[in-house]
Amino acid sequence: MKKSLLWFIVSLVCVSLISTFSFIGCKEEATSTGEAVEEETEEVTEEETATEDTSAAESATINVSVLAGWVTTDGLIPAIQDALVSEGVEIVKFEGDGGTLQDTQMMAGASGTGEFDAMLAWEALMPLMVQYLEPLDDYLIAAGIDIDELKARFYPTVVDQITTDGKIYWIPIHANSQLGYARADLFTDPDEQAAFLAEYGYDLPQPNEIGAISFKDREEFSDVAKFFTRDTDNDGETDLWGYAPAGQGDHGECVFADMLDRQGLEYFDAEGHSLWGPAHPENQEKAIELLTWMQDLVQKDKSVSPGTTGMQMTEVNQLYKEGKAAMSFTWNVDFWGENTKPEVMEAWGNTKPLSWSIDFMNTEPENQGFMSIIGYGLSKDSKNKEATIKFLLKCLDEELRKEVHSTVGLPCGSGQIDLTNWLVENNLSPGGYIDAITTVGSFWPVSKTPWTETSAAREVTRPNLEKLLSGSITPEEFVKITGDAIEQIMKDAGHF
Amino acid sequence: MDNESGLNMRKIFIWLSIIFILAWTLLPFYSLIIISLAKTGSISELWPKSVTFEYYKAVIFGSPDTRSIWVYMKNSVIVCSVSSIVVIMLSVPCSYALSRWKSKSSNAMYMSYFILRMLPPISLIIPRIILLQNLHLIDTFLGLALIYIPTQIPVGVWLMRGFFDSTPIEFEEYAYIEGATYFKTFFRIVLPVNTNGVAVTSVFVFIYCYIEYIFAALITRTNAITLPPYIASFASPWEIRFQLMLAAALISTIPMIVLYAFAQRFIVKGITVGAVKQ
Amino acid sequence: MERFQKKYNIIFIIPALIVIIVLLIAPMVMGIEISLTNLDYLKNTDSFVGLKNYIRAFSDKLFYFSVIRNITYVIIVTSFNFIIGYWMAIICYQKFRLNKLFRFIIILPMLLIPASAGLLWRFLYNYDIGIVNKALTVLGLGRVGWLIDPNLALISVIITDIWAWTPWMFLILLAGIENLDKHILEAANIDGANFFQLNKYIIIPVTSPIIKIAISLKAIETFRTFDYVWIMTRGGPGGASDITSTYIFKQATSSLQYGYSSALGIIVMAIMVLLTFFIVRKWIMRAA
Repeated sequence: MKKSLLWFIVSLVCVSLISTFSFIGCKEEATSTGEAVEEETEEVTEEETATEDTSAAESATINVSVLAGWVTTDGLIPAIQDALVSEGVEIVKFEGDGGTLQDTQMMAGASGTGEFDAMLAWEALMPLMVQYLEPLDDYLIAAGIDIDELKARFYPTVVDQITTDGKIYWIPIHANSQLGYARADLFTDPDEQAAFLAEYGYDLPQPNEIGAISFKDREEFSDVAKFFTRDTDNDGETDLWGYAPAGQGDHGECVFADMLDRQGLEYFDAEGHSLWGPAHPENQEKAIELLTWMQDLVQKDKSVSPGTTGMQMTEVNQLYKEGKAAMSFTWNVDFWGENTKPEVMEAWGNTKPLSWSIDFMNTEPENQGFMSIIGYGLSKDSKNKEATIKFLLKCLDEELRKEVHSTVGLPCGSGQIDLTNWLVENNLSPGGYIDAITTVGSFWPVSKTPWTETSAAREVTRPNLEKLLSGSITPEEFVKITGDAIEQIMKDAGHF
Repeated sequence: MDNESGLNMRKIFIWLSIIFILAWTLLPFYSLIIISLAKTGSISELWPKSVTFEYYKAVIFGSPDTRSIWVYMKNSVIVCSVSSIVVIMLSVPCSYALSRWKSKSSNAMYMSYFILRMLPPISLIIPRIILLQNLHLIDTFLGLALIYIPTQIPVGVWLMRGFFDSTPIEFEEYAYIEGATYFKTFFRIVLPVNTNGVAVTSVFVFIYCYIEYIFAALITRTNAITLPPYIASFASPWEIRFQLMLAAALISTIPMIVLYAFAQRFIVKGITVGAVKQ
Repeated sequence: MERFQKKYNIIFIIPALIVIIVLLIAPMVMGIEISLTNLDYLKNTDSFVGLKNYIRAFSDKLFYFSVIRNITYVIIVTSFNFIIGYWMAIICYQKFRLNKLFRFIIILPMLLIPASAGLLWRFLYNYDIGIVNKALTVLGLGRVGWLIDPNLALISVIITDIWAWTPWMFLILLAGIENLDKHILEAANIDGANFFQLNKYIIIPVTSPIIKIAISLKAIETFRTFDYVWIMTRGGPGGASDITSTYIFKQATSSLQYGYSSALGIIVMAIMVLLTFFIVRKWIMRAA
C-alpha cells in the first residue's frame, strides 16, 4: 500500500515539476532581453521603471497597442522598430481585437497605470480616450514640425478628427470612408449607355479621369440600380443586383448612419434627446423619408438582394467580385487591392472598378458623412514619453509611410497609411476616395457630442434596421420604436 | 433464407449510412479547401477555376502582412497538453472515488461540479482577469492553464464517472478479498479496464482547451497567444480575410488529429472485462 | 472495509476539490458580487445597487425570448446529436475495411475551430453566392434565405452546431459501446435477435449510464453556445436568433454594463440549474 501511494505522489510531483519548468522555459524562450525588461515593467506598475537611464545605454521600452491581425500595424510597427533601433527604443506590442483593446486601454487609462505608452484608437474610441492623453503640439514643435504645414498635409476632415480644442491629440495612420464600387465594363459599355438613355431619358453617369462617378441625386441612383438589376439566365431569380449594401448589424448601421448624417440628422441633440424621438417630432419626417428610400430599394424596386440583412462588408464585396452586383457599397480602403487583382477582374472584363461616394445624399452641402479613422496618441501616464514621441514622429514620417505601403504589399485589406492624394495618384486607392474623404467629418460617428450611450443607441438601431430592410416593419414604426427606445436610454442615464 | 436477406439488408443499410455520413461530414470541408485555394477569391465555386497556394504559404511561412502559424500552434499545444494532463490526473481519481462512494454527500459533490460547469463565461471574465493580474500571470502559459484546469475538471469528473459507473464492481471486490489495497485496485484493475474512457476524456479535454477563445483572447498579449485568437485575428471589424482564416483552421487541426491517432488505440477497448476474471 | 474505503475516497477527491474551490468558486462569488453593482467602464461607476439589475432583468422581454430560444436550441441540437451520434457509433462498431479511417473522418468537424466553422457555414448559407443555394437552384428548387429569414435563422445555426459537435457524442457513445461485453452480443445473435432488437434491448440499456452522461453533458455545453450564433447571424436578423449568450454579450459590449450582464449571467445559470436539477436528479442520481 505504501509503495503505490508513494509512486502516485512521486509521479504527481514529477509532472508538476516538469510542467512548471516547461512553462518557465517556454516563457524565457519566447522572450528576448527586451521583452524580459517588459515583464519587469508590466509587473511593477507602481514603481518607476528603470528604463530611462541617462547614462550610456539610454534604451527605453514602450508599450504600444496594436489591433491583432491588422495589416497596417503589422507593417508599420516593424518598420518603425527598425528605424528606432539606433535610437535605443524597443517597442513591445500589446495585441488585441477591438473589444479587448477598448476594454484594456480604458481600464488602464481610468486607473492611471501607464500600462500603455502609445494608445491606439478608432473614431468611436477617440473621444472617450482623449481624457487619458497628452496633447502633442509642444512635442511636435520641439521636433521642428510646423503645425500649420502638418495640418495642410492632411485633408481638412482628417485634421478635424485628430484635434480636440485646437490641440493635436492623435497621429492618424488610417482613414476610411464609405465608398461604392461600380462595374466599369457595364457603365462604359455603349450598348448599356444607349439602353439607359432610351429607358430613362438621360445619360448614364460616366467616370472621370480618376475613375470616379458622381450621381446627381437619389432618384438617379435608384434608376441606375434598377436598370442594372437583371435575371441573366431566365431562371426567375435575379442574378445581377443593381446595388449591394451591407445590412447586418454593425455594418448595416454604419451605412444608415452615414446617410443619416448627410440628411443633417444625427442620433442626439445637444441635450441628449433622440433627434427623431418624442422630443423632436419635426425631424421624424426626414428620417422616415430616408428610411423609406432605403427600404424601397430592397422591397419595392427589388434592386437590392434580400440577402443584404445577412451580409457584412466582406460578403457585399464578394457579391461584387463574383459578378452578382453592379454596384456595391463598402469602405474605400478594404477591398481595392482585392478588386484590382487580375484573376478577380477577369470576371468583369478585366476592368478596374469605378468608384462613387454618397455625397449625392447630402441635403445641404455642408452636411457630412462620417469616416473611420485610426490613430496613435500619447498616454498621459506614460513613463517613457520621450521614447513614445519618437515613435509617434516616425508614424508621421512621410517617407516611412510610403515605404510601408510597398513593403507590406498595400493596398490590401484594410491597409492604407498615407492619407493624401498620393494614394490615388499611385493607384493605391480608388478615385472616388477623394470625393468620399472630403465630404465626411463628425468626430463622433453619429453625433457631434461623444455621448457614452452612443453604442447602446446604435445597438437599438441595428436589429430594427434589419427588420426594416427585410420588410417586417415600416419606416414609421422604425422611427417610433428606436426614437422611444433611445430617448428612454438617455433618460435612464440621467441626462434629463 | 431469412438470415441471408437480413444480412444483405443490413449490409446495404451500413453502406448507405457510410456514404451519407461521409457526405454530410466532408462536403463542408471540400468547400473549405476550394475556398482557400481559389485564385479568384470566390466562395461559390464548386471546382476551382484557378488554384493558388498563396494563402497556405502565407499561413505556413508567414508573409509581410500575415504572421505564420507555428508559434501559436506551439503555444496552444503546450498549454493544452499540460492542462489536459493535470485535469486527467486530478479528475480521474476524483470521479472514481465519487463513483464508488455511494452516499448523499458524494451525490451532492457530483451535482455541485455539474452546477459549476454551468456558469456562463461572461460572469467569470472580470474576476478571473483580476485574479490573474494580482498573481502577475497575465500573458503566461501558467495563467491560461490556471483558467483551463478548473473549467475542465468538472467535465473530466462527469465523463469518467459514467465509465466507472458502468464498470461492474465485482472485480474490485474480488481484489479486496484477495488482499489488494485501494490504490492497487485502482491502478491495476479499474484503470486498465477503463482506458477507453480515459482516452476519450483526455481527447475531449484537450480539444476543449485547444479551441477555447474567450479567455485566450483576453489574457494573452504577446507571449502566450494561442491558436483561436490567432485565427480570429483574421477577422477584423471591417473585413474578413477568410482564405487565411480557413487555411489556418485546417492546419490547426493537425495536433488534434495526431492526438486522436494516438488515443485511438485506447478508445478501441480496454483490457477485456473477461480477461480479468481469473 | 467501508470506513477504510471512505478515507481513501476522500484523498482522491481533495486535490480536485481544492483546485475547483480556489479557481472556480472564488471567481463565481466575485461574479455574483459584480452583478449586484452597476459596474460600468464607460461611466466609471462601480457602486452597490442591490438587486436593481435583477429587477431590470425581469422586465426584459427580449431576455425572456432569448431564454426560450436557448432552451429550444438545446433540445433540438442534443436530440439530433444523440440520434446521429448513436447511428455513427453503431456503424463504426461494425467491421469493415477502412473502419479506422472512417472514424478519423467522422471527428473532423469537431476539430475545426468554431470561429472558422461558423464562417465557413456562413458562406455556405449565403443567399446569393452560397453553395447550398447554388445546389438548390441547380436542383430546380428556389433559393432559401437561410440566415436572413427570421424563422429559419436559428434552425440554420442549429444545423451547423449539429454538424460540428455530433462527433463528440459519437466518440463517447462509441467508447461506451466498445465497453460492452462481446459475449452478450454474441449470445443474443445466436438467439436470433435482429439488428434493431439488438440495439433496443441490449446495447442501449447496458450503455445507458454513459448515454445519460453524454446527453446531459452535451446539453449543458450546448446551453452555453455562443460562437456559431454570433458569427453567423450576430443574433439577427432583427434579434430573431438571439440566444442568452449573444444577448448577454451585447449587453456587456455595446453598453459596457458589466453589472447588468453579470446579473443576466447569474439568472441564466439559475435557470439552467433549476431546469436540470430535477431532470438530473431523476435520471442520473442513484438512491443514496
